[in-house]
Amino acid sequence: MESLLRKLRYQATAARRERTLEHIFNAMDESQEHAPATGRVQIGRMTMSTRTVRFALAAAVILVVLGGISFWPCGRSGKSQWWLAPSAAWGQEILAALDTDRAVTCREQTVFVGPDGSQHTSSTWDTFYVSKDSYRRDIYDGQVLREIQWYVPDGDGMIQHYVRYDLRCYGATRHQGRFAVNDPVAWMRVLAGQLDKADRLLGEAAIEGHDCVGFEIHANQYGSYPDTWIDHIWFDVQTKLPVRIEQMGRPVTGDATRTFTIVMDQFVYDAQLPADTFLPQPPPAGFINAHPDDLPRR
Amino acid sequence: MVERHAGGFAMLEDRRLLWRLRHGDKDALRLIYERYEGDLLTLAANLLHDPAAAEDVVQDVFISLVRTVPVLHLRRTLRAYLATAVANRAKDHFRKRSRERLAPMEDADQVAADGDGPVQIVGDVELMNKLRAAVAELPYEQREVVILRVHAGLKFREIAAHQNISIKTALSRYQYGLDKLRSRLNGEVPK
Repeated sequence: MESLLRKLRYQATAARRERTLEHIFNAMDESQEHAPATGRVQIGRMTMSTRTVRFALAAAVILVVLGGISFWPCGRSGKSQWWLAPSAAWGQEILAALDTDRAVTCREQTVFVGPDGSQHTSSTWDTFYVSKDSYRRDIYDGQVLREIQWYVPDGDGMIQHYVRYDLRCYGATRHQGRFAVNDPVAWMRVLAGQLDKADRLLGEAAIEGHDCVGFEIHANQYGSYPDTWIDHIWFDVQTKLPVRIEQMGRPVTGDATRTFTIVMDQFVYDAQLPADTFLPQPPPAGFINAHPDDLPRR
Repeated sequence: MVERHAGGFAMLEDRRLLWRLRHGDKDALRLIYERYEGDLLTLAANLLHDPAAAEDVVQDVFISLVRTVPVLHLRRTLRAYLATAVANRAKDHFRKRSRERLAPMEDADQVAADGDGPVQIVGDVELMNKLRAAVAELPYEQREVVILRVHAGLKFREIAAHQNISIKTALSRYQYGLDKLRSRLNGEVPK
């Protein structure tokens, strides 16, 4: 039966293949037009979340749910609502704005969602510093700095230097490829580039004191992901820059009943950072050169 | 062992092509397209039974690839990644469709597998049409397991992860699917 099934094959005509290739090449050209400019520094910093902001966000959600929001194409009249225009124009404007901004600050944390919708925010959160080719990630557990990682270019890969303050060890590991998968600015670009495929306009809400407009995009618009993975991206209606990104519905390993949401928010652009931000710092005295997995169990 | 080496080489070659693609190399994109387009179209068309929609799905998957390649973190073969991407989009398309329909082929031509002579093709057409109709009648989840296994070569572990089910359930769906196909073809296919 399997061999017979394998004979159920389809083949496009040469003309159709060429047309498809042409469309794909056009998409590639459009993507490259909005790639980051070389030599331009983009710096991202993720800062810690606060209870106040969480309350503000909860209030925003309540307002959206109870007060109703204006969905595409019926927005409130009387002020400029650029997001109601076709996204082809302003989506590129957002990408261009990301090109010109030299620095970004934001925060990232993980929220676990139970089967009943209950949410639990992880005590671990990150601070990211992102430049054109170097990255730094500070990992906190509550108020305590647990680890700093520096990612430094090395040929076609990167060397990750780390200091584990909780385990009193340090070391370095080489990685293939770039850091881009964890780069919040890269994520902004991906999502901003997919706005023409946004599944839903979330409407307007006040986030962190900014008037924002949000969009919902299913992750399968930009990759091979389940359709339960959903992203929300909120833009400041004045600056058109991202204010909050939520990656929802991600599975928790070993626990099919829960999912988690990665939240990036509190973005501040044009942050000024010390020049040595991306230089690996020597570990404190007494730290040993070892991978955490190789340390003797306590 | 030979297969493992071949798979490893293919993965290295894919990663090299993706690296070139990240750097704007259109030849690399063309190579990736030419390498996988046929299999992906077959996969999508067998899932959807709508060749025109299948071509759109494949095109969308490649456009998504070029847009996301800067942040793409490939954890498996590019073939498996693309096949899963096609399966995800096909499933979305299937859900959006109010009901299944067999669409006439426009630009796409169904072809017999290589090695069949003209007489055999004529002799096989009726059987293949029956088979195609039988596949279309399978419940989508069963059909997806069968097609992903046969045409994408995915492991049951990968199919189970894709459908968010256990490996045992994936195996059951595969066996049930094949049994139904044999039943529909009324013994014209040997076990």
